[in-house]
Amino acid sequence: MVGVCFAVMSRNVEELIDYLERLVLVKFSSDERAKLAQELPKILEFFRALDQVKELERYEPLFYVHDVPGRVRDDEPEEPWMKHEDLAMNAELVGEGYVKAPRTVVE
Amino acid sequence: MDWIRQPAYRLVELFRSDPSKIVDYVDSVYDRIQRVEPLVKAFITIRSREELLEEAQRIAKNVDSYVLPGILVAVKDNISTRGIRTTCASRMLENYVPPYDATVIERLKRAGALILGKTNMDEFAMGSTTETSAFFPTKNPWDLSRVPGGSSGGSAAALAAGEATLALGSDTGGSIRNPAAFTATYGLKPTYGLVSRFGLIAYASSLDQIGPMARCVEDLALLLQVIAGFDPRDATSLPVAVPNYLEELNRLWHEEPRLRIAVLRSLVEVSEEGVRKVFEDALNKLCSRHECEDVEVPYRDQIVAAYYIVAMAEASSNLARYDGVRYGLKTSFEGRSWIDVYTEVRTKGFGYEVRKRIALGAFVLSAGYRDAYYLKALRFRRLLKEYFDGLYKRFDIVVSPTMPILPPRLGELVSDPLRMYMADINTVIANLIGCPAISIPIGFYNGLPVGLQAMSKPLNEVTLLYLGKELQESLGYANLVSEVIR
Repeated sequence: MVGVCFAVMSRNVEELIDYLERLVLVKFSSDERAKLAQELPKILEFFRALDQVKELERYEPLFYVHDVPGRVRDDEPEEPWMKHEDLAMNAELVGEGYVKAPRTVVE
Repeated sequence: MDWIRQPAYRLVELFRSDPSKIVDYVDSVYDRIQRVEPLVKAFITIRSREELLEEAQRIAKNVDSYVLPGILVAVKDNISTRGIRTTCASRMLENYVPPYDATVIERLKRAGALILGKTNMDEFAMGSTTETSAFFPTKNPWDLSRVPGGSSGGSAAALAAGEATLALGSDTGGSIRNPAAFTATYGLKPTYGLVSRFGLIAYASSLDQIGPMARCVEDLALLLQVIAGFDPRDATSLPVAVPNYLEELNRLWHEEPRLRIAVLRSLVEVSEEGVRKVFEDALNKLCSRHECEDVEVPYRDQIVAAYYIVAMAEASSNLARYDGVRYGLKTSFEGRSWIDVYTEVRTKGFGYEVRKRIALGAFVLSAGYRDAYYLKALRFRRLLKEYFDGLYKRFDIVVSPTMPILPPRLGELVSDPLRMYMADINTVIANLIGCPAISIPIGFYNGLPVGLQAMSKPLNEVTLLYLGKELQESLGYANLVSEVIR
């Protein structure tokens, strides 16, 4: 655990920002990068406060707050509650009932 | 008639005896909006007077079949409204018009309420001041140099400025209660699962809840009554019967039960002096009638850390859907790869705070760090829940100041992210453990509002409303509207 956190904090913060940009497909401007370089180590250090909690391992992770299990509906088709054209009304490029997306591979 | 300060429950009675008054009311509120909105800037979108009057006239013809006939409701701009632009205060959704209504909107319409407009908020609800809105900050109607809190700051400011009678907010880590406390209004975060999230634009799905905001407790109960209840379209909706909150509130009010109240003492002590003073005065009133005991909060810093890890992790997953294809900001696809298009749209569409939270969220979920951050936060979440489950066996209510600080000046908090995150310490607990929590106005310090937060065990909203009513009656902070002085 300590080793992991040490690795994060000692990593060059510029490299970390590059990594994060690739991870979530966003870019930060040079001003934003400078700000982020200040904030990131502080925030990650703050997150490390959890390391101080004794015997945390004996608690199971809590994903969902109620004991009621998540429901899934029967796997049967339902009456459509919205028209196809309404669903696509916010997409710019629609052709033959389909939404056009960018190519995944460009030569 | 002073239509601006009338609570909804009284307006409903008036409209039932004289439906033609709905039109006068709508006109008056609209006049008020035109006067104060340029100063407060609570709304991103306001529907036209003509459209509202037309709906008001239709509802006036059949007033007895509605629970909230003609009542004007301001709706936070992350709740989907069919045919009305829903931006989440983000460039990403600046021109997005939902093709469907959120369940809460369907229920409001069925109740005869009028959707007045969409209120400003922190972008994608990520913030505590309404300053991360991509469009403009909202001002606090009690002091225009200060923030109204956030992220539902527009909804709270609209109420405090007399621009709406009721409002809807959403609360992921205090986003209803924080602005309620900063604007001398009432706000309730319901039990997780009591109000459908269908149509709420997701931030952190295991924490988000839609809730009512109002200028008095009775209106809070009335609005909760309309929006609460099972919804098969939300997989986390609780299959429980919803009580009649107003009737239950009146029943408790007459029974006058003596409550066992736990005071989160360390959260009082770390609050600003003004907050502490006003809180202690209100607490003295409560403790003269009820049984009070100080209790400690375990691991204060860790609560905020766990909250932000979970919220950012869920945000990174939820906001991955914004790809510039099906909805949201667009850019040219011509000759460009999916990665280029996706990156450009997300960089232009999301503000700095949103991009930062998505990035940190992806980081805490990434290989090598998931166990160290995300799972650890979830383990802490269970520890916290077990601690509060234990408290709720001994106490009916747990109280603290809603916010440890007075409303900050514009720019004061948003420039220091860790300080902004730490200001959420009192409110994030209820979201992490899924319990209900209310913010009740309890006074002013140097002209700035202070709120008391009360939490209770899940599905015990009525006890929170009862406590709110007791403080409302003893302190007299009901139906307050600011003069909005420049």
